[in-house]
Amino acid sequence: MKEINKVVKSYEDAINQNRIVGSQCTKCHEIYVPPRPVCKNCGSYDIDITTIEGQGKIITWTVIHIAPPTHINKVPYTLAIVELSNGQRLTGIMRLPEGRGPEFDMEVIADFDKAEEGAKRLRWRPK
Amino acid sequence: MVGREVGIIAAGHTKFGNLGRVTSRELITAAATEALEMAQLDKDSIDAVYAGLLSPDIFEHQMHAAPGIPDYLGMKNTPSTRLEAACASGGLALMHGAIGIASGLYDTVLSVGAEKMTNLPTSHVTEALAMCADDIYEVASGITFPGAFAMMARAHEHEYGTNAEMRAAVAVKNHKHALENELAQFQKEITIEKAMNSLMIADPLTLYDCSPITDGAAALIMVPWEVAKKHDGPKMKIRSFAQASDTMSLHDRPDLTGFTTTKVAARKAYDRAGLQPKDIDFVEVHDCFTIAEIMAIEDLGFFEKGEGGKAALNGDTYRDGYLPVNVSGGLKAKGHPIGATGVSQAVEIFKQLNDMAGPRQLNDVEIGMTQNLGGSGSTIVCHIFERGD
Repeated sequence: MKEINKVVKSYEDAINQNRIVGSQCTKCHEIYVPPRPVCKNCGSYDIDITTIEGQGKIITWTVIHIAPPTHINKVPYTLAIVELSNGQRLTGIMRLPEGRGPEFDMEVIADFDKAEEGAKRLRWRPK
Repeated sequence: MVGREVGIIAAGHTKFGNLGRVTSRELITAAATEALEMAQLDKDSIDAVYAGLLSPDIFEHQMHAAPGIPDYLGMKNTPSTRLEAACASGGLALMHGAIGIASGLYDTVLSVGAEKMTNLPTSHVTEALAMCADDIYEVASGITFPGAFAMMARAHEHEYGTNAEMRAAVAVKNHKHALENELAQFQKEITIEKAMNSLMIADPLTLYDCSPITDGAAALIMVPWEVAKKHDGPKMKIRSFAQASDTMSLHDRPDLTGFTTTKVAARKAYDRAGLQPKDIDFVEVHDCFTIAEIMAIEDLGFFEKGEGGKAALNGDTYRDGYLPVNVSGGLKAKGHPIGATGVSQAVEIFKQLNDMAGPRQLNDVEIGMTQNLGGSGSTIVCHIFERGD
C-alpha cells in the first residue's frame, strides 16, 4: 500500500503560515508549484515538500466585474497569473495601490490575506 | 477508426433560450422524440442512452439524472449514462454513443445533451461554472470562466495583437449567422461598436464576448453505418472522433494563447479519418467566448497561429467565406446550454450535410467538423462527419 501523499494539505497549511510550497522530486530534483503527488518530469512518487520564494512577475491578468457570491464583495478585482522566479506559475488576486494598474512583467511578491472562512489566501502585490 | 463504422440517422433540437419552468429531462424528451420520429424508430429500439449534462445537481437539485431520460421517454429498463466533462459533456455523450455502436455492443443509441440553467441568478451560474476550474488553486483565488478566457485573450493580444475589434467581429458574425437559425437564443444583429461598448464582464472581455446562460437540449440517433447507408432518410457518417485532456489549472500550461488539447485531439481526429484541415468544408467550434473561436480556428489548423483574429473581421469565417465557422450562430448567439452544446454542434453538421438547414444551408458541403471544449480547455472532443448520400 502506498502512503497517501497529501500535497493539497501541505499547500494549504503553508499558505496559512504565509509561505508557498512546491513538490521537489527526490530522484530528478524537478520542482512543481503547486505541489504534485507524482513528479510530472520523471514519474517518481518520492517527492519532498519544499518552500518556494514568493516572488515573480505577471504574465497575464484580468479585472473581474461579474463574480460568484464568494467574491461578489470584492468586485472589481484584478486576478493575475504570476510566473515565480523558478518558472512555475500561480493564479491570485492582485492588491494594487490606488492609481496603479497591472502590467506585463510587473514584479510582484506574495501576500497572504485572511479569507472570510478563516483560511488564508495567496495574494500578489507589486514589489 | 477501429470497430464498426458509425452513422447518424436522426437529430432533434429544442429552441434555445430562457424556456421558463421546465426540467432538463423534459427538454431531452422533446429533442429525443423529434429524433425518434425522424428516424421512424420506436423508442424500444434504442439500446442505450448517453446524456451530456453538466450539472442538474446544482441547476435543478437533481443528481442521478440519467435514468430520468428513458423514464420520461417511456422506455423500459434502457441503460442510461450521464457524462460530465464541463462544457464538453455533450461531445462526450456523442463519442461514447459512437463507441457503443463501434464496439458492437449496441445497434441503436440515443445520444443527448441538455442543461436547464436559467433557474439560478447570474452570480450563482458563474459560481457553478467556475467549479469546472481547479477548485483549490483557481476557484479559491476568485477565478471565473470569463476571467480565465480574459487572461488568455490578453495573452493572445500581447503576443499577436488580437484586439477588441477582432474579438467583437466574431460576435457580430455569429449573431448575423443566428438570424437564419430560428432555434437560436438571439436573432438580433449587433455592431462592432455595440459589442465593444457593452458591459465589462472580465477585462478585456465584454458582455458580447461571452456566450449566454441558456436552457435547451439536442439529440442524435446512431446506428452502424452499414444500416445507416440503407436507411431511407437523412444520414451522415462519423469519420472520426478524438478526445484530449490538459491540466486542471490554466496557469500550469506553458502556452496561454491556445489549447494543446485542441491541437492533439484534432491531429488524432484528422489522422483517424485520413483527412487534413484543408479537407474540412465547414466547422462548428466552441465559441464560449469570442477569443475561444479565434484560438480554435488556429489550433484546428485552419489559420496560422496569430492570424485567427483577423478571420471574422476579414469575412473569412462567414457563411460565404473561405471557411464557414459556426453557421448555426455558435454558442455566442445560438446559446450555450452547457451539456447540450456538443450534441447541438453535431446536429448543425447533420442538418447541413442533409440539406435540412433551411435559410442558412451551405452549398456543396461534404465534410464537417466539431470542436467541443470543457473547462479552460482541459477537455477537448473533436468529431469529423461526412455526407451520407
